[in-house]
Amino acid sequence: MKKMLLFHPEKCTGCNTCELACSLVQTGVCNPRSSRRRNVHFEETVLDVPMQCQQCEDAACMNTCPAQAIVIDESTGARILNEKKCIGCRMCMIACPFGAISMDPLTKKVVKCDLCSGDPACAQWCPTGAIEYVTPRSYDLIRQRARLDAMEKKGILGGR
Amino acid sequence: MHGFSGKLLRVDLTKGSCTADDLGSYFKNYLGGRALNHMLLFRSADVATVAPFEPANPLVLGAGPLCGTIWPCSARLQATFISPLAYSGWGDSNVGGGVGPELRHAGWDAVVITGRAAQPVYIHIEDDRVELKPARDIWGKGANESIGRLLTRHSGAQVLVIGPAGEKLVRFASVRTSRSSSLGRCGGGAVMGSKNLKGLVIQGSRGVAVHDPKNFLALSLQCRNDLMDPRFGPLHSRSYQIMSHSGTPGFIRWFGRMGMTPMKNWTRCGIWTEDRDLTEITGSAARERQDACSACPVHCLGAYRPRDPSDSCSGGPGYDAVVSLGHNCLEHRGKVVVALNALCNDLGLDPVEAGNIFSNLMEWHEKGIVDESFTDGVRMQWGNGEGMMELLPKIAMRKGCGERLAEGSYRVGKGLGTEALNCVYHQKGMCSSGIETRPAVGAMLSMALSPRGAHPLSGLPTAEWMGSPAVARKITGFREAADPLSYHAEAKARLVEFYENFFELPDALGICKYSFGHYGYWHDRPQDMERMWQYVTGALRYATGMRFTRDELLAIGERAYQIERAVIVLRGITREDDLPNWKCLNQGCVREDAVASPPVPPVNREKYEKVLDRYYRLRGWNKEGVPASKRLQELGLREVADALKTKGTGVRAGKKRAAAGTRRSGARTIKRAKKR
Repeated sequence: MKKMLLFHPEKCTGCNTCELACSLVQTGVCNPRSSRRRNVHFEETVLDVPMQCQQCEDAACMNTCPAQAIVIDESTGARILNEKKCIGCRMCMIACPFGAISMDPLTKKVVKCDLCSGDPACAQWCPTGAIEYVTPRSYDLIRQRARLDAMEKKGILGGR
Repeated sequence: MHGFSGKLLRVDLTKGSCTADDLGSYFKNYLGGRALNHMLLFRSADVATVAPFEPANPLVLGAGPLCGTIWPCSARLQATFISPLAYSGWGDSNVGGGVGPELRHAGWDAVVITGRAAQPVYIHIEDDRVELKPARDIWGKGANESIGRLLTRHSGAQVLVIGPAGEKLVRFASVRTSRSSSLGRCGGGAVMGSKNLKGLVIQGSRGVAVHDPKNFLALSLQCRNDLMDPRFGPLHSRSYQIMSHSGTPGFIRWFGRMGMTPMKNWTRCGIWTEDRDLTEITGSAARERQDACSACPVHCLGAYRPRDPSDSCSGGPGYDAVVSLGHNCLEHRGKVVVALNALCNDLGLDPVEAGNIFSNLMEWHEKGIVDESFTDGVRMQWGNGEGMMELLPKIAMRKGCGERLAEGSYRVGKGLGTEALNCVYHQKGMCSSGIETRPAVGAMLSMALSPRGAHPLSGLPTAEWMGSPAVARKITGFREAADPLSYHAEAKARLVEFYENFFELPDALGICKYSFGHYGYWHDRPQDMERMWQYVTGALRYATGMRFTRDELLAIGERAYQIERAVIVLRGITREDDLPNWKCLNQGCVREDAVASPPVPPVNREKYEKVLDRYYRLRGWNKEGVPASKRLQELGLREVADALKTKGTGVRAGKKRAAAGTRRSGARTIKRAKKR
């Protein structure tokens, strides 16, 4: 199976480097509003939550697109949007359960994450390692390790 | 043009007009940010006479050409105005967070705000659409609540707001932005308050176009990786470690070892044995995580989450706030300092100046200059955190004794007489922000000279006080430059001049001084300096498509600094104001260390004046510190030179002002002199 993006909210410092990198790589402009990924910032709870395309196996955006403009990139597994076919109906934006598809305010076109053809800028740029691009196997391992660490800290595992 | 939109927003609050202006012609000579602000301030008002709370006082906000890009630490917005606090009248303040980038993403490089609104308003900038909106509902509310309400109304925006202190014209009121950052010093909040301006709400969707994205990305990543590289060098890696793990309070012990952490209202320095709670403040339970400004890999801001319902959600105290509220007041309880800082944030007060007024009150109380009746019955003894907590809201609301204290330490001290004023550790009316400079001559010189007064980021020579002999030698050509206690005139003058020009640049570019070597970075090896210059010129070239040489950049720095000097000279600053304060000149500082270090001697006035003479000559100033018109014209500042010629230097007025006692009367004397 293809690699995927893994996010650790507890490591995020809210620096927005990922959004700036994404927009600069994708459009040549540093503009978080045309970034293909978003961090939703919660001021009161000091938390940033990624609203990012999960490249769903059974992708609602793909299923709903009347123009079949969203297709699978065989090399990365990304669901990519073919701008030529896109009719701009925004059905995918409505269908996406994560709100991860957005409209570029400059070009007024629907945009979505394409995993940068296999080298996602967000993961490459994240200074604290809060975004990782990993294989499914390490995805599980990293997550399980993180959960165990958290449990150990709380003393659930006993012994400490 | 890429990287620099060349658009200036002029807001006249009296007329209620918002207009766009072209800045294109400024770029080559001023870049943007701080340097540009200086020229805009100079051209927007009669800087010699305008009073801080007059509607004509322009509040200039400027973000440099790298601000809002992905360049590491590129999140700084510079505010420049005539300050109500510093008697030099120079006000500048710099803020991180997301507000500078957002302004740039909205397509603006600078904003000039003048006039006074009839009703409380806030400015709403949404790309090209700029509107003044009523702020009745949030006027009088704390900064946290105001930010919350504005963000509910304009989701995803970045804001600048003032708290009650700014509305009540407290001379050291700050301007808050989001949780962690503020335009803290110089009383910008009071200037906004005098304009009936509650805040700015900015929403941008245009972004900053980059000339050569591919190379810009590659260079940014390289610089970023340098900054985060623990093997880069001992000085840098240690400072990076401290900054990213505990933020600036982590430096307390380090600076203490050099004798640069003050205690007990600047009468002692070194390492305070009881400060464990303060040095580990960022490791405390209340700290949620380290926060970062836009595009910053360092994340030096502590984000605190309220555990106690009475605590307000707030950014943690930085080094200056901890030292001013903690060490200087001998308050060793970390929890109390965090709470005091949070309260300052909500009220919109500068915690540094607030800490200084308390530590001064404590010293005056100890010396019997004031008693409880001066502070409405609160006994201001050393370490009385509860007393400070009680007085803070009074100051912000100007209630009771707060009416007096809201004027700031310098003015209160002056009102109480010479003995009280001698206790105040100030330069040009501004209290120093947590750096004791008696142990380092170059640092002392830069603090005393800085136009806004005691500005640690104006030109504090890192190579000297952090100890980097090879770099100090490379800059000046003298071995003595790196010796903190040496009064070598040529070496120290050259060192300070270089750093002053140099540190104008990050503010002009819109990036943080951290990534520009304030705490190390290129100070590990002399050759790293070349590397840093390559980064800066490369970043500018790839971002804007314009090529700058190192000399051109340093000339921009000098231009900016000479304007600052000319403005304060026009407002009556003389050589006398460039001398260290009374405490530095007359009192030694007891070293509070485990090992019995010798006490730090007072500044040697005779030797200091020699360094000052040399420095003046190097700058092209006369004996009184007035910039010569020849040097100004070489830098292309003919209008500044002309202003100095026609308006007089304010020296005469300044002398009379000293006799009359207030700065404002100085301005009036100039007017009278002109009429004659």
